[in-house]
Amino acid sequence: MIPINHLAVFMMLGFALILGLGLLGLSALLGRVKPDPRKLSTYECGVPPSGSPRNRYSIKFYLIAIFFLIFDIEIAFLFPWALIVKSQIPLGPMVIGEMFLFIALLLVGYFYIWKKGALDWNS
Amino acid sequence: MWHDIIFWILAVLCVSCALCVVWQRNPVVSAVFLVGSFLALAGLYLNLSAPFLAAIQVIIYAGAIMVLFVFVMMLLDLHHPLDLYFRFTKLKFPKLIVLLLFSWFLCTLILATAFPLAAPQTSQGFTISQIATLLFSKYAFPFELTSLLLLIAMVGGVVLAKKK
Amino acid sequence: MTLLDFTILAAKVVLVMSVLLSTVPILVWVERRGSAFIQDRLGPNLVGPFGLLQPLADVVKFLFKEDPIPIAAHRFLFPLAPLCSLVPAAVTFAAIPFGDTIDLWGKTITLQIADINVGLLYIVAFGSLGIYGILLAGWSSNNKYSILGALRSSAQMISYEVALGASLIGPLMVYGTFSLREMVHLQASHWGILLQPVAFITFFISAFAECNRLPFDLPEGEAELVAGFHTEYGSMKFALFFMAEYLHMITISALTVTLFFGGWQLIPGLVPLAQWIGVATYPTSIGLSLLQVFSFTLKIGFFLWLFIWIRWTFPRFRYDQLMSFGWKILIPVALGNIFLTTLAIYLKWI
Repeated sequence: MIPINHLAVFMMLGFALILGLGLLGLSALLGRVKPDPRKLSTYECGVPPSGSPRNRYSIKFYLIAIFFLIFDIEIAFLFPWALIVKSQIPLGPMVIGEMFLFIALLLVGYFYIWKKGALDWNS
Repeated sequence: MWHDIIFWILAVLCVSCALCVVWQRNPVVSAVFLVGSFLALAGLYLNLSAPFLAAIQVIIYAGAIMVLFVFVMMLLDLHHPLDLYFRFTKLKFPKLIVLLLFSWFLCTLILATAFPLAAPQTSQGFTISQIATLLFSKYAFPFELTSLLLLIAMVGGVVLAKKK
Repeated sequence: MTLLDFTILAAKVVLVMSVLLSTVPILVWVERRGSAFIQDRLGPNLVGPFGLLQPLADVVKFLFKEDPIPIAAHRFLFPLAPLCSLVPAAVTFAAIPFGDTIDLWGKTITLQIADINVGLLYIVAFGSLGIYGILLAGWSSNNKYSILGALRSSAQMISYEVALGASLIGPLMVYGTFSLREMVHLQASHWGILLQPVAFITFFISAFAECNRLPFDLPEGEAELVAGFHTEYGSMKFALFFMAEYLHMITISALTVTLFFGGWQLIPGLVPLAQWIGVATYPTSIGLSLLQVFSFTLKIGFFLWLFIWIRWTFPRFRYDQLMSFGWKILIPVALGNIFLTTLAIYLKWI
C-alpha cells in the first residue's frame, strides 16, 4: 500500500500538469488566431534575421556544465553524510576524516581548475 | 490500488519516452525524452517506497547529467548525417533479420524470468540513516575512489576544453 | 488509507494550490506598486482601488490575446518549455509545512501536503528541474538572442545550484534530518539562523541567482539581450514563465523561513497579542493553528518583500562578475561553513 505522502506527491504533480495544460488550452481556445508572416517571423529588433541561430557557441558553457555535474555529485554524497554526522561522532572521528578526505581531493581539483583559468569567464 | 495505477502510468511513460529517444531525428528532442524517461523512473522508485533514491535520481541523473547532455546538444549544432542514413535504409533485408533476432532474444529473456520470485526480498527497505552509515563504514573505500574519479573527470574536462 | 484521508489530501492540494496561484497576482501588484514607490512614481492605480485589480486585468488579457508559435520555432518543444518551467515551480511547495496539526472530524491533519522524509531533497530535486524550461525555451525559439540568453541563464543557474546545495549541508548537519516538519519542530526554542548565519547568507544569495532575480538577472535583462530566453513568447506561454518565476520566489522564501526562521513557529509576542484579542491558544486548538499559519505567512511576506526591494535597489551584476562570484566566492564560503559546523559539532557546541 502506497504511503499517503508519496501519493500526495503524485497528486500534486498531476494537479500542476492539469493546471499548466488547462491554461495553455484555454488560451488556445479563447485567443484569436490571425497568423501573419511578419508577426510570426523571428524577432531581431525589427530587421530581418541575419545568420543562423544554430551556430557553435563557446565551450565555456560545456566546462561549466561538467564542473556543475562533479560538484553536484559531491553534494549528493554530502547529503547523507550530513544526516549521520551528529549521531556518529560519539563513535569516533573516522566518519569526519573520510568525508574531509573526499572534500580535500575535490578541492585539489577545484584549485587546479581555478589556476588553469577554467573558472574565468573572460579568457 | 493506487500503487498499481501509478505503476502502469509511469511504466508506460518510461518505455514510450525511451522509445521516442531512439525514434527522434533531432538530438535535443531525444535528450528531452530521455529526461522524461528518467523522471518516470524516479516516480517508479518513489512508488516502491525508496524516496531517497528517487530524489537522488532526479538531482543527479535528470538534473545534472542530462543538463550536460542537453548543453552539448545545443552547443554542437548537430546535423543528422544524411548520406549515412540513406545508405542504411537500402539494406531492408538485413535490418529485418537483426530486428527479428533481437526481439526473439528479448522475449526469451523476459519469459524466462520468474517475475515475482526473482525480485530481491527486502524486508522493509532501508532508512536513509542506514544507507548513510553503510556508505561510510563498509563502503568507505569505494567512496574515496569515487572522489578520485571525480578529480580525474575535472582535470580531464579542463584538458579537453583548454587546448591552446 | 480511507476515503476520508484521500478527500482530506485532495482538499489540501486544491487549497494550497489555490492559495499559491492567487498569491501570484498579489505579488505582481506588490512588485509593480512597490517598485513605483521605490522609484518615486505612481504604479498602476486606475484598475480598481489602488490598482488592485490590475493583475486580474492582466490575466484576462493573457487569456484572450493571440498566442502565436513563430514559424521558425520547434512545434513540440516550444509549448512544452513553459510547462517544464511551471510544473516544478508549482510542485515544490508540497513538502513545506505551513502549520503544525489541526484536529478536524476526529482526525489529526498535518498542515503539509506531503510529509515525506526526504523533504529537503525533494525541493532541491525539483529546483534543479527548473533549468529545462529555460534551456528548451531558448533552443526551441530558434532565435540567436533566445539561445544565448538561455545558455547564459542556465549556466548561471547551475553555478549557483552548487552553492545552494553546499549551503544546505550546514543546517542539515545541525538538524540531522531531511524532513522539513522535524526541522521546524527542532526550532521551537531558537531559530535556525542563530545556529547557521553563514549558511543563511549563502543560501539567500544563491536563491536570488536561482530565481533569476536581480542582481542576477542579466540573462533576462531587458536592455541586454532583448528579453533573453523568452523573447519569442507571448500571451499565456509568457504568463506561465512569469507565474513560474513568482512561484519559485514564493517557494524559496518558504524554504528560507522553514530552514532558518522557525517555519510556522509563532513570532515572539504573538501569543499575548492573540490572547488579548481573544483567540484561544491551547495546544491543539484551531486558533493556534491559525496563528501558526499567520506567522508563517507573515514571515514569507517579509522575504518576498525583500526580494522585490532588492530587485529595485541594486544594479545588476555583469555576467563574468556573476560567474566569478558563484564559483570563486560562494562555493568556498559554503564549504568553509561545512568545516566550521563540523568543528562546532565535534566540540559539542551545537
